[in-house]
Amino acid sequence: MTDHTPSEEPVPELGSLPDEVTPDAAVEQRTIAALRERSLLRPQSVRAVGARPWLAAAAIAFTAFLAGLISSGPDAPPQPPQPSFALMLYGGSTGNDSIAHAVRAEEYRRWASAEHPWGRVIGGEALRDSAWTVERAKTNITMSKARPDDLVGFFLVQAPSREAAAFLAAECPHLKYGGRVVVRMIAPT
Amino acid sequence: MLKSRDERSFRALYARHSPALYALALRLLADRTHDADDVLQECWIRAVARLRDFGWQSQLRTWLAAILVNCCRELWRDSREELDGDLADVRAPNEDVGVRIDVTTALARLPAGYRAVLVLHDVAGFTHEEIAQQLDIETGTSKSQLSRARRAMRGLLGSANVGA
Repeated sequence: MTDHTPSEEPVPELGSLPDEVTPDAAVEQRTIAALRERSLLRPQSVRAVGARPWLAAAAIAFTAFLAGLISSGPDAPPQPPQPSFALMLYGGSTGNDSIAHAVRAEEYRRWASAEHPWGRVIGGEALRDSAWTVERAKTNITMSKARPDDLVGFFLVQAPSREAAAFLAAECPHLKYGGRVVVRMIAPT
Repeated sequence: MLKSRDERSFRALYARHSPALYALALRLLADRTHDADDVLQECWIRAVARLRDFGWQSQLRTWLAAILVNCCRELWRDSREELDGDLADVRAPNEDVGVRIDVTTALARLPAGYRAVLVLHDVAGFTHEEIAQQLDIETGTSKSQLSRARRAMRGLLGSANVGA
C-alpha cells in the first residue's frame, strides 16, 4: 500500500544527488604516497601482472567465436527447468597480492552476475588451500590433513545443455588467468 | 603480512570505487571537500592494510563504505560535531522570508547523526541493520532518526520550522 506518511518516504530531492563524484587527482597521488610510506604499496612494476597477452587475446577470440556461433543459430525456446552444472575451477595463477586478488575477485563477481545468452550463474565460492580428510576407521572418525589439490573454487550454473554450460565456462575469467574449468552436471536428487 | 602490493592493481581498484566512496564522504561530511579528501585517503590506507581480512562475504564496495563511515565517525568525534544534536535547533536560514535552500545545504544543516542515517539509508541504500552496525546504534534508533531526518529535510527544503 502507498498510504505512507511523508516521514516514511524518502525525500525526493535526495535523488538529485550524484551517485559518484570524482575526487581530485591529487588525492590519489597523496594516498599512494601515504601507502608507500607505510610500506603498504610497492612501486608500479614494468612487467605486466596476470595473463599473457596472447592468452587473453585467444580467450577473447574464442569467446567471440562462441558468441557468434550462438547468436547465428535459431532463437532458443525458453527452457524451464534447466539442469544445473558445477564449473570446477582448477589451477591458474593466484593474485600476486591482496589487491590483485581483490581486482580478480571483482572480475569473477562481475562475470557471475552478468547476463549470459547460454545460461546463468546461480552461486559460487573460492576455496582456500588447506583441506582435511575425514574418514571412518571402524568406530573411530579420523581427521587428517589432505594432500592439497589445485581446485581453487567453483560456480554453480543453470544451462539448458552440456554444450551451453561449456560455452558459459569458456567465458569464465578463470581461463584468462591460466586456469582450467571442468564442467560437471549436478545429479538430480 | 602482505608480501607484495602492486601499485597498478591498487590504481585500478581506486579508480573503480573512489567516485562512489567520495560522493558518500561528501554527503556525510556536509560537502566539506577537504575533510572528504582526508577521509577518502584514510579509508584506502585502512582498506589496503586490512584487505586480507576481507572475507568476500559482502560486496567490496560495502566493505569499503563501512571503513569510510568509520573514518567519518572519528572525524565527527574529533571535531566534536554533534552526533545526537537536537533537530529542534534545525531551521532553514531564510525561513521567515520563504527562500528555499538546496538539498546539499539542507543536508549540511542536519546534526551529523541524523544526516548519516539519512544518507546511508536513502542515498547509499544501506539497510537499518547495516547502518546500526556501522554507526554503533540500535536498529530502532536508525529507524526513528531516519523518520525524523526526513521530516527535518522536508522542513528545511520547504523553509519551515522542523523542530516541532
